[in-house]
Amino acid sequence: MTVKEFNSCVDLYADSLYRFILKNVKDIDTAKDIVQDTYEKLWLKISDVPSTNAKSYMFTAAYRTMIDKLRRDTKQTPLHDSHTQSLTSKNTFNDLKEVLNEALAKLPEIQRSVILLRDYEGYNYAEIGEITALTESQVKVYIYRARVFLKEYIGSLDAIM
Amino acid sequence: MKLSRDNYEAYLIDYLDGQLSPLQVAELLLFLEQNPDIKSEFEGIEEFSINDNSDTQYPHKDLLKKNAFSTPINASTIEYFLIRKIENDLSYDDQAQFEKYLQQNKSAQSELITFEKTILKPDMAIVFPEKNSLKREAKIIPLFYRIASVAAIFLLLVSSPYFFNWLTNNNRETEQVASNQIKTTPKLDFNENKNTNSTNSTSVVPESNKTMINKQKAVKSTIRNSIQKIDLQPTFAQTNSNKDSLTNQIVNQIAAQVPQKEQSKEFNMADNASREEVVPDVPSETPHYLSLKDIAEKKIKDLSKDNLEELNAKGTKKHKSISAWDFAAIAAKLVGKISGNSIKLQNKYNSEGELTQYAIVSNNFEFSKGK
Repeated sequence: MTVKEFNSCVDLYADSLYRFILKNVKDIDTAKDIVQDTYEKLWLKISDVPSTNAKSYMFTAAYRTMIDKLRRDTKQTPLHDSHTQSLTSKNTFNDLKEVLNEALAKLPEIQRSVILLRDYEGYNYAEIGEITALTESQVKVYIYRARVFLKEYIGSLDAIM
Repeated sequence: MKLSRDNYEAYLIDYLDGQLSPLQVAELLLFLEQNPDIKSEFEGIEEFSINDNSDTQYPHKDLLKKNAFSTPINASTIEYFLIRKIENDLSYDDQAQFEKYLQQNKSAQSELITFEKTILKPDMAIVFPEKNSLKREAKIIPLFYRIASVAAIFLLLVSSPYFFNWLTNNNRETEQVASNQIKTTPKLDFNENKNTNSTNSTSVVPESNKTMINKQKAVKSTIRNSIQKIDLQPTFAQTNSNKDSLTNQIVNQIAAQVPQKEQSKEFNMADNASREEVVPDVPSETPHYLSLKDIAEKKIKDLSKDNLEELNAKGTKKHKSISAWDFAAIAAKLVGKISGNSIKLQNKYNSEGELTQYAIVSNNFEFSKGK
């Protein structure tokens, strides 16, 4: 990859990478740090990473950096607690976007990551599996569970609208 | 095995598993009646027997099956199909089956709308704020810098042995000249007297030897005069730089004043006794440590010829020893040649010939500093 291609990667992927990380870590400074760290890693591997694989490389590096950071800094909320809280508070929201963001925040980290990669970036199951070090079947299962959880969280369409 | 308080646990387990014979059961019950504490313990265990919960079932068993035909859509599998629908993961056959089911089932249609709402959309207003800080600039190294680097390394490699030899020889030479300086004056006086005495006392010296001795005297006299002219002030607590200067003066002046051919000829003809006395005083007889230095000095002087001529033109009385300035001038010339730019060192002197200002002048920049 050339320097020009590297800078092109900044233009093309920095925002989407930042959004992906920010949705997961929910902290602007941490998200910025991870994005910068990811591009630093890409710069160090500039001669090894072809420009066609740059996006996948960056999302993989960012995801793994984020996981390390989350596991180091925060305690994960158990799934059953998330469900309990979500189901009792779901009707307090009026806007679907807010509801979804709230629901997304309550997802287990791995489910949140796979569904963000799927919906935000349009990665297929195999690509998500590469980024998150999961099998394709595991990715499908996590996406399935995340969809079910989000559907239960937002409730019926009438209750939201 | 007779039932006792030591092995009753095994009997109890077998009893719970139905492994005991009627006789053993009767024996166990009798044992429990005789030991009320164990009986109460046993009754507690009996209450916690584990059932197999055979009514608990995996909810999506059909989805795990691998069939040649597509999974049938029903109430238990519809959620799976709805998700596959929004994931665009339905096969052609499944798609047809799903559409058919959807038309017949309004609750499924409602569920599909709800699932479609779960698709996340990125907030494009969120952007990375410091994108430019992530970008890098290409480092373009001009070709002449590469050439200059290679040349500099080459010169360093080539000159380093000479430099170290020069330093080593300088030290040796300084020590040698210093020791000679101590020996020179009294020895010359002594030799002169001795020679004079010997000349006067011996009247049987052959003519050829007389001629040789006279020539030898002439050489010694020349050397002595040259050393006296140097005005050395031999205080051997001098600094290293003074030593170097002293060394250069001695070497240069002796070399200039002693005729080389005559010198070598005379010493070849001299006898062993006189050679021993004269050898330490004559530079040509010293080990050839000076040769590398002489070569280096000659080269450097040639290269810095312009600078020396400039000094002469200005009427300075500065001695012609090699200074750091000469090295700098040479380096500037080399860099100028390599890079293709004209780089010059320019000096300004006062009326007494002292350096008052120096400057590095190139096509692109000029740097000067007063002294």
